[in-house]
Amino acid sequence: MTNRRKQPIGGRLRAPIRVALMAVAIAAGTIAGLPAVASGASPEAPLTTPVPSPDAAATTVRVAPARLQITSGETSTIELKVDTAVPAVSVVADVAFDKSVLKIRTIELGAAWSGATILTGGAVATLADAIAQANEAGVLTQVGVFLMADPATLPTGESVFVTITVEGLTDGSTSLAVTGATVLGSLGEALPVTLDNPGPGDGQGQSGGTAGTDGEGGIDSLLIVALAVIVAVVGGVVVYARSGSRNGRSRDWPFGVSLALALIPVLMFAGLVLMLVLNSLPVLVSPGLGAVFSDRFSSAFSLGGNNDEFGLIPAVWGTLQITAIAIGLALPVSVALAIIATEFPMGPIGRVLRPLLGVLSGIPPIVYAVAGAVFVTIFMAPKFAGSADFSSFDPGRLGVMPANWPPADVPFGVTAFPWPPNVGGIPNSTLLGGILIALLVIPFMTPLIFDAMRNIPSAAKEASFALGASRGYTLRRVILPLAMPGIVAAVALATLKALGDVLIVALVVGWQAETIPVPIVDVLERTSTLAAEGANLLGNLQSGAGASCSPGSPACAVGYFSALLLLVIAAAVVIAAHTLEARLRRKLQT
Amino acid sequence: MKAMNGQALPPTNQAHAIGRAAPIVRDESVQSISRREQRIFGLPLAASVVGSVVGGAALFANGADAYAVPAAGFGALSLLVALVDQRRRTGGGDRSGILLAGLGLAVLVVLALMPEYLYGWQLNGVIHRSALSGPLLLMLSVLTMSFALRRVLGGTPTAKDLSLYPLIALPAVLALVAYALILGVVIVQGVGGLRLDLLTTAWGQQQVGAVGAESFAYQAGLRNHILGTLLLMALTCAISLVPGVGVGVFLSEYPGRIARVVGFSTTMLRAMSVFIIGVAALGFIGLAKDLPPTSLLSQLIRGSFSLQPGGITQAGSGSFVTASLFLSLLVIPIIAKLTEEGLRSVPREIREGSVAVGASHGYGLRRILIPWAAPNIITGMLLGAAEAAGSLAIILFIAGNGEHGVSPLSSVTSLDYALFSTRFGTQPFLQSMGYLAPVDYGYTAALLLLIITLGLTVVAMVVRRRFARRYRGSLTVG
Repeated sequence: MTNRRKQPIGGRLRAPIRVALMAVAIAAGTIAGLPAVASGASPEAPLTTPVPSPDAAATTVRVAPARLQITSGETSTIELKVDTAVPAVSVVADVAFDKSVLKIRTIELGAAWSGATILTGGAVATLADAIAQANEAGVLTQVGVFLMADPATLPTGESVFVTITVEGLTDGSTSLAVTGATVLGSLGEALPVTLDNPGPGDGQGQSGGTAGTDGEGGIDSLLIVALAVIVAVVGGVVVYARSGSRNGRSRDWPFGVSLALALIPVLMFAGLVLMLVLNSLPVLVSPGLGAVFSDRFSSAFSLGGNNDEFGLIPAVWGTLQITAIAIGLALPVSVALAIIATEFPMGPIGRVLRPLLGVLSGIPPIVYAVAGAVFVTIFMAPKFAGSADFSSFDPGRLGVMPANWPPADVPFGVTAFPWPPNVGGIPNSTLLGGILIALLVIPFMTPLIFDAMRNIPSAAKEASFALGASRGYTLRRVILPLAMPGIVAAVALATLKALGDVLIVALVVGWQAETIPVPIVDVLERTSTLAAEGANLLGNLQSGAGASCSPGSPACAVGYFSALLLLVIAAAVVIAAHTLEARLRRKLQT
Repeated sequence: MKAMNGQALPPTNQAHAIGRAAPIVRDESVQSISRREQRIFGLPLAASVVGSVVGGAALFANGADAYAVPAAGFGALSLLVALVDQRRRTGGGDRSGILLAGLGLAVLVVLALMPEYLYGWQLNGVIHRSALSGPLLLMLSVLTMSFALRRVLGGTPTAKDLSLYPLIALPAVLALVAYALILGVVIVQGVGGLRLDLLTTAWGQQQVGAVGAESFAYQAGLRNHILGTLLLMALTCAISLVPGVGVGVFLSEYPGRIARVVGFSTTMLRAMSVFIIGVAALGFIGLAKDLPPTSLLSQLIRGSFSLQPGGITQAGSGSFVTASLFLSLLVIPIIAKLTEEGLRSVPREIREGSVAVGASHGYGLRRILIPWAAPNIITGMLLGAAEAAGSLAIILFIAGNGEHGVSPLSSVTSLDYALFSTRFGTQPFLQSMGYLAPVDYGYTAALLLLIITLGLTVVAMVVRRRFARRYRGSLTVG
């Protein structure tokens, strides 16, 4: 029943043809049908907002003039304008232009935004770098302003936030377009923005494809093609499974249906890996492999950073450190708990332990990350304090500090505590991150070890007892060796879980590992992991939801590359564990 | 002792009786000591109890570390006294005892010489003595306790088993204390912030002040976060149920090359760092960024909202549907694994009986195998729902605070995002600017999240047990 095999293909050559035809038909139908669905104007959404809000909808960002008459060698001025009904603290926009006909000379603040800071996005440090990059690429990315002021004095209505002076390279006219914009309201919330660009007929059509390189329907159809391919594959498999007789039975729908469904995880996994690989390819060009495997990492947020150092080695070291701490703490505890639950019953404790662990395994990581503050206050802070002069962006590796500790005679300038409670929560040390991840991993690992110990042949255990061995002896010499392959597998799975955790590390240890700690085993330093650093590079955890790196930028590529690196480490763990497990099993059999 | 044994093990008393003759039980040092002479080892036993109390206290309170040296001294000296006494009576040496006493003396010396604050030696910080004295003392005490217990109880196998308990209990107790601390702080702080208005209002902006001089304030609320969590769980379960069961059926029923690939992919999806899936979700939403916000595709992918009833429709940051789609990547492997387990546990007689009476494979699957695996599937769904409620990393990049309502086509929000945003994102900023009352309701959100996830886990366990009894009757093994 379970081992039905494919029949040799003979006289059934038509089945593949039918499958192919069917797939093509489905794909064609999808491609033809979906744009109609996508572009068909659906009725106004009946969704309402529970809280009446001011008329914030009318925020537009545009470039003026959108069409520019230029002459070679002469400069002209263009303005980026924002029109907002509510006060805005920050406006950031991407501007596309034709780099073959003009180049940017300077960028200045608009009149209404005097006193604001000019922002340059991506991984560029200075305005000059941003201009150089823009002239290279034909897109000025994430240029904008940020004004920290009383909401009452923030500009509203239409205002010019940036003035750009451009120099013509040829005579004629060209067009500019805003391709993306973010406007933050006075409360730091993202306002909905509409881009007020001239229609494609009169503007962007002539700008030689510099505007909207990743939009305008290209992606749209890509999405539809992807959906169509999925539908075609699923449909094709169903048709294939239904089409012929297998083992003389005319219809074996379970095979086809379950095969079609089983391909979902395969496709998803392949898609994710493909996404990682494709997106991290720019690493080879932009920071370069040598830069990625260097030991310095700094970003726009680190003080004194050069903004162009993307070394991932500190993060790799942090990953290894934190995983080692977590597994080193969790393994003895898990083994002890499993022993209590199986071999050394402790009255009622042994009985409730299994359900208790089941319950504990439901605790989400974010709860550990936030409630881990309790370890800071009662365990970490009274015992460990960092020195202030060690790292510029590291004012202590502790959270809260008792007022009178350490005493004045300790020759260390321990920085003022507590860390500002609203910025970054409870950053602490690599050690605390490891402890919390150990707590995350224990309920996950213990049942696996428990199963491994329970599933050993009972004859071996009984023989040991029959020979008069004590429980401790049996445990040491019979149960643990026999259960060792299972324990290895459990440790491997727990290691994968520890490797991949983002939130605990990001919140407790930090977003980025800047240097390798000195001495290298300093677990009181804050050495972040690949997962947290990658997540921050890609999703910008600091600014909350929705922010992402600009595709193709070095930061983005490095983020994907760190994910790829993590996947490689995970695969190495899987392979090593598999090999070790197989070897142990072989040894046990002989 | 007998009650603890269970049925599987032979009574240890008998084991003891033959134990002396058995070649694998060797403990010459203890054999010759009579019961009375062992009482002297009560002294190190008491010392070890004192030591573990002091060590445990030093883990939490720096002050307890003042008693570390006396405790260690008491332990080491009492051990020495007991060993000397034993040697005087029996004339035999006790290697492990001497080793342990040496270790105790070493710890004593280290603790006595250690200054209160450690710094220098390239350390980039200050370490208090209790950070080392607590663990050292605990380790020493547990070893001594194990050693002394065995001597006090005599050299029987039972005594040896009992003497192992301290060693096993210490890590377990430490871990359970840690969990108790985490759960305790969440419950105590969370219950304190549990107010009805927090649960019934939605997060959002409010206009305050007179017309012409309006300003804005934010009100904190968890209503939409709670509803969003429930919706997210329901949608995720709905999306991942059929694929999960399908994968499970395929893995269990059609083993072969394809199944190995499927199994590997499923495992790796589970093992893959969740932020990769989160980033994929972010990229997926990026694909729809140029669609008009009113189009169905855009609404499905990004969600939509309009600020006023009937107003302009705007695209959200990511809809519940998208979030559930990506969360189901985590949940499908869970359901698949449990389904596979359930199907594998179908007894061969039932499978063969089904075939023997002429049932087709499809019929057998529908009427026999799937019902048999039903408890597992339901368990998988409940665990998956708990996972969906707790997996913030996947929706982190696309979630919002739920100010635009909760429906499958609105922007995704959930309680764990609420918890995240009390520490990061906009809320700390709003609070520092004075737009939001500086009330920390993070622990309340954590408590609600815990209630949901832990409740689901408990229900999953109960359901599994109950369904197993109903469907599988007396054939149930586990």
